[in-house]
Amino acid sequence: MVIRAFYAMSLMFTVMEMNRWLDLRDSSVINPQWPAAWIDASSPRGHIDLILGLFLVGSLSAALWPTYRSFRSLYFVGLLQYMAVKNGFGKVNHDFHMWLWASGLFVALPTSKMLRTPTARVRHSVLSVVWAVQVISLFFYTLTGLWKLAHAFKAIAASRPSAFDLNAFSLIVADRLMETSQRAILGDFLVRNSFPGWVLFTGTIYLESFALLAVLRPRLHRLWGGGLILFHLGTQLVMGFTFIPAFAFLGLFFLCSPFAPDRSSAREVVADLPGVLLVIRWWRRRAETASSVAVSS
Amino acid sequence: MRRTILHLVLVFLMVVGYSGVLLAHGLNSDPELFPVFRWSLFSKVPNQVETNYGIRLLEVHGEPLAWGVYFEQSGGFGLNYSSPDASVLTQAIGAATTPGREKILADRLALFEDRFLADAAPVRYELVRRKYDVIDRYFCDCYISEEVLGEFRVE
Repeated sequence: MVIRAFYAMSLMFTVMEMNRWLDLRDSSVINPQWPAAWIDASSPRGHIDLILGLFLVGSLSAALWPTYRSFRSLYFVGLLQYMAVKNGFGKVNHDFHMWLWASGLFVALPTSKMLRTPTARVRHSVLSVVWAVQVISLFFYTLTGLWKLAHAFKAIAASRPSAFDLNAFSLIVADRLMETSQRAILGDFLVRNSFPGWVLFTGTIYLESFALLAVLRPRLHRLWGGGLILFHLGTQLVMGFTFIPAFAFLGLFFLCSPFAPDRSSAREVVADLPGVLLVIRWWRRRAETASSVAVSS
Repeated sequence: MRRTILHLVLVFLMVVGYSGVLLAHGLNSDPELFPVFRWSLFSKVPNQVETNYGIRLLEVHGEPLAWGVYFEQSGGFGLNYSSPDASVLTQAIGAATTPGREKILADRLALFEDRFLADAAPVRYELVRRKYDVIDRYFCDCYISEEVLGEFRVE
């Protein structure tokens, strides 16, 4: 079901992307990413049309018949080519990156024949691929968090403003909004008020850095999915941009995670939070040591 | 059980492979190796006083402007002024102004002109290096200094 929904949403995003297609077709200067390096740079229109056609046919056929590996492959190749063209203008955008890797991994799903009569082994294979998609996507968030930490420590060593500073987020928001002359609902507020920004930014670093650990703890799937959705909502409110496909992706693979238990108590979820278990164990050990010292004395 | 272990190993190898490609390509190398992105997003906190590059329009549709208008403020001319891509490309253009990178500079300028200025041609513009206090500029749109690096024209 998750996979069918993935391809149905893929078609929806393809249709939403069509607004940009006229501009893409009119491009006379392009420096595509390597998968589309075969494009004739002096006259790219014909080749861009071919890629757009391939992308549309791939999206449509995978949405209608997602069990067929050939159509899943066609969609993956179409999306790869499309992103190679779309990101061929001096900047790489990351909005469809998770979608691309998921579609690549879904090529490895069992064949349509196997999916028609799913044995336990076939179901296991399907779940393994879905889990791989969860791992790679949260790994990307972990990378983002680790970069923030790495740059923060580097900045501290160089006596420059770091992500831990109280006004760090205000500086980031102001710089971003100025560069694009955008207005955001909470932009002004967070530029003027450092503390709420510091809380949000520190929370984001925690959420991102430990994302990969969360995927190993099914009780955290919905919490992390919801947390990251709030983070993407926050970038829209504060910086005036967001990755729309990320909402669908996190909703599909984490809020609807097939591994998340139907019910888990708040206490269990809190105990699973990265760092919390360590603190609990340390606290218990400390209490045990204190009680044994009291008994022996 | 053996199958589960195999799947775990494959997923682990995927993460290790991705990290390996990142490291082999160079963590700070630009451009990134598509589709293996670094995911370094908003990692660096700007200094209180920053220096960057701007494209300042002097003539739009062949009409000279009373005063220069930075591209990111050129909404009145119907340009895609708020594009983050334009901002990133502008910084890349500025980074290519060092001696020995003339070909890269020309390519990046051509890309910018085709994608962001073609609708306003003929256009005359200049590339400016500007120094500013981040918070001050946010509220008053003012700069500590502005240095013109070159003037260009799109017919």
